[in-house]
Amino acid sequence: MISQTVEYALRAMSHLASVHHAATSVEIAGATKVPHGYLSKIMRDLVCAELVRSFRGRRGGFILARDPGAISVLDIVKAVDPIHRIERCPLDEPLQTTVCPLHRCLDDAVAHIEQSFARATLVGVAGTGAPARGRGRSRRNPDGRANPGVADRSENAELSVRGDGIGGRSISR
Amino acid sequence: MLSQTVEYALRAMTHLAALPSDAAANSETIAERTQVPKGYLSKVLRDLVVAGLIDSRRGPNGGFALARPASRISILDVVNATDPLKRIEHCPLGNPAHLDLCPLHRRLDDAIAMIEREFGRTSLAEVAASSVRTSNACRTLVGLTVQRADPHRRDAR
Repeated sequence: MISQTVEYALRAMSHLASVHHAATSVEIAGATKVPHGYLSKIMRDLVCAELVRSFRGRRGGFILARDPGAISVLDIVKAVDPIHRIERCPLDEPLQTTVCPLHRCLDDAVAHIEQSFARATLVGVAGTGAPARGRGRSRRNPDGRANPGVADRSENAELSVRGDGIGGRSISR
Repeated sequence: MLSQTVEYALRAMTHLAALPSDAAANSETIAERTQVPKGYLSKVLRDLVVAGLIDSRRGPNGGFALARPASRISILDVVNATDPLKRIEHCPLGNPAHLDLCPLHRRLDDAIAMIEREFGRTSLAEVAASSVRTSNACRTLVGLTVQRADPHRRDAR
């Protein structure tokens, strides 16, 4: 349901959201356990989508292009493996404009996933998604505050609502 | 997002749900109506038989038919019979410190759970019956199949 590419991209972005420096692809690959070659391709897609910036040089590497609170899970999914909505029934003539109940039901499900991913920002999901080596379980957001998503894992808690911003509350009920 | 296998299985099941109650369809007809490659369809139908969602009947009027009323078969039943939704039960990073799901994987699992609920709530009867009633799109799938209860047709499975 959620592709390996998306899984890896989310791990990489979570890692970047939880560190304070530009991270090299070797570091990200190690911390997220993503094969290095695969990761490079994903990082390229994330740079193209302007979610990540890359810097050359000795202290170079990748950093988030904007505030983690302004990057949704959907932004990341779209950058690496976009969700395809069902716009017409696969069995009908191209001119058919309505969608049958079966494909309407399937498309509704896809739409709900899309909405859910649009609401979740990197602030809500980062912190423990990609634990840095040697640090064990990270409990802090990049801004140094405790990550409430870790301490409180109430199943139904919305992890983050877009617009909360980086220092904002990550759990809304 | 949804696999080709699931798409094909749902087309086949929708087709069967639109048949008159005592009719069966052979795999050639299903393949033709649903535009699913025959070899692929056979595999999908086998999975549906194993899951107890359809019966295969031998004989001249044989073929495949729903094992129970379409109102008692959910979209989720069909999905789980052919390409089950995989919930995320532990952190794929394999970190022993992660006894619970991290917020990232919790979020992803929540999305899968939501789909599971939605598919569990929708019956095959809902998607098949309303297709016939409104003569909506995907006519090839259900519209034409209503005429198919042909008692002289031999089972060519």
